[in-house]
Amino acid sequence: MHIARGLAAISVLALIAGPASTRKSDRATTTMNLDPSSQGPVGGTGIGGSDVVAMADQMVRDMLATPQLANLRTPPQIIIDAEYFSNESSQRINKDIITDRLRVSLNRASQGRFIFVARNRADMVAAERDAKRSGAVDVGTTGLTRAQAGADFRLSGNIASMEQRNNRTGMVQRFTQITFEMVDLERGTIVWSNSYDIARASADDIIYR
Amino acid sequence: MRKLALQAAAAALALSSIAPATLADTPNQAATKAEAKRLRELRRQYGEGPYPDEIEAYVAQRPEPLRPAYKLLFTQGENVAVLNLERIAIASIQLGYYKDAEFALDQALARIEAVYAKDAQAEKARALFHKESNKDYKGEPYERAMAYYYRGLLYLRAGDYENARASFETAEFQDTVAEDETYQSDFAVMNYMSGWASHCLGQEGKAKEAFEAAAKGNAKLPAPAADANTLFVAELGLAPLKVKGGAQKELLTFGAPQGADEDGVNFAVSGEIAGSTKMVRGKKGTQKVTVPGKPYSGAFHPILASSVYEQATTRGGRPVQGILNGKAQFKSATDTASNVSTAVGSGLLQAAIQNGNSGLGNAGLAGMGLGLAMKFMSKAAKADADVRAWDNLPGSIYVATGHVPTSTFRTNAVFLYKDSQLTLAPQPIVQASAGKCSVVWTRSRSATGIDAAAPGIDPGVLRARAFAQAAVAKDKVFRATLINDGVPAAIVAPAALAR
Repeated sequence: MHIARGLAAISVLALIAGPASTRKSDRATTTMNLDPSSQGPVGGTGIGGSDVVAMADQMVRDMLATPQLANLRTPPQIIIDAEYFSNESSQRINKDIITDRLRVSLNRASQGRFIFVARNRADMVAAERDAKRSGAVDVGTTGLTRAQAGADFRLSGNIASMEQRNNRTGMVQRFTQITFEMVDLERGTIVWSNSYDIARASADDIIYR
Repeated sequence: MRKLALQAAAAALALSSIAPATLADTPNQAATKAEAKRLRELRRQYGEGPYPDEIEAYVAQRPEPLRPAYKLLFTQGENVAVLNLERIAIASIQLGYYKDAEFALDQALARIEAVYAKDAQAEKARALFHKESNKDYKGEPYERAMAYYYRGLLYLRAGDYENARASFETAEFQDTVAEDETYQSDFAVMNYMSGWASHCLGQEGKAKEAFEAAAKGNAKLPAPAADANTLFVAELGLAPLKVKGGAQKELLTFGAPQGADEDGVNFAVSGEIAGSTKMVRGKKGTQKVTVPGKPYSGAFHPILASSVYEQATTRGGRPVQGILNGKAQFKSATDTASNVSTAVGSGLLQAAIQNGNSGLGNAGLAGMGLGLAMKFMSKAAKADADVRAWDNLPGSIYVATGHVPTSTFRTNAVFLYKDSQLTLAPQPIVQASAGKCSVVWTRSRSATGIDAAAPGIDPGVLRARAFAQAAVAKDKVFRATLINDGVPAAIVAPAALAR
């Protein structure tokens, strides 16, 4: 009987000597939203869809609250596109997603306080103007102008990011800063600027580290 | 009585609705029933799919040379989706199907970037009685870096230098996981390519930083000249081999591939510098003068920027190794305990037979039974390291930059071994001048000359997924996404590919 107990003890020891128990840091941590103004536990991931929506909303409200832009006697003509919006971050992104959202939201919210120039569609406009003037089509109903609209202001900006990794815990952190500046196209001054910060951290399951 | 009659009528109606197609069925009803029967039959034969007609319909939409790879992608599901997509991507670049390559890499990178928290398959891969390869493949850091590298190359080809730079920077970031700090951020070619993207953007400050970082990883990498406008990239050799090591196959080790000796490459470029006109002021006033075009030829000698094999082997210990070591320990310990129990039990049984001692006999039987149980548990534990590998990667990457005074030129590549020319099967040369800079890319070994299925895939793991509800659901969504969001069909081979 003692022998049987001994064998059972060996078996139990073998089972105990089995796989190391999963430590807390082995487990995955879901991506969490952090307060961008405070330092996160380690770091994070990049710009997501909800950021684009929130960012555009914040910028639109801020631009409409800026007297140098929104309270001009004659509504200023503005270009908002990705031409001068650079991406220096380590995230692949289609910048048009940000600038298109901003232009559409601002156009709808401004209710005529801004006039938007579709410079990214200048070719399309030029073709139609040529067709009207050559008689290929009629002149339409709103009349002809001497030239396409010039712009008073144009949006410029930059996306920059900074990454960190903690190899012990597998945490990866990314800080992304998106800056926006409205440039006076005659004087070269910046009449409005703002920035949007994102700080996120996540850790993949240990099986992937 | 009336109630009984109503019940009988209702029963008759219910029966008629489940009866087989009869002459009374409308054509629509008959077709619905036939389809339901067909699906029942398919489900009986193939479970939750994919079904042969689905596979055929999906694959038929893909370019002919890539169909076998797309078939594997569709049928093997999420477990090896990243690996299959990566293999498709390089083959697509080589064959000139750039849309397919972009689609495949975007899909692969989305999965690599996804955080697998509380994922059933990841949990399973950690479990004692399941193999590591139960996890959805994301690859080792060098493989992840290479996925970003190829996406960066495609962005360079398209003249999108910002996203190219982002891709190379993220590729380099994958290398920060190395256990030994000496090998962290030493994937020099990624910094170099990032610098090149900045150079093409005209951001020389950022470019200089990246070239300096590249030089820290590889001091022989020179920064491009200020007027450099063309990047030459040559990939030489074969992918690192993943091999299972350790007594219980719990270690991931790497082997150097054999049969690819090339250690150098030369590019020869020829083209025509376009003619132009200019205004010249002379005695007779300002006149328009035509400057005739002239032939151009140049030679470029890329140098070794990074060895993919070195990147694979200098990572150091993987965090998951702790789990695999635990599994291996369990296997060994239970196996030893089983041997001891069986031997002791057998001895006791023999003694019991000789002495006629029933107590000893019972103990012996118990010992042998315990030994058998332990042996079963030892066999059931799965410590195997995951050796699924991206097999159409190169062994090393060579780069050169220079000024080519025309964007329309022809390129020829010659591969070398100890400075002597090698006779290798010619591979396509990808060449593009979409933006301010041109890029030329080629490789010494074909990306399509590989086995149909990726190495290291465990068919048993794939078969077992058919019985895992979560995996079945995931694969169904995966196939539906492929069908709905797949790259637009491009069945005709692209003509613009330089060969």
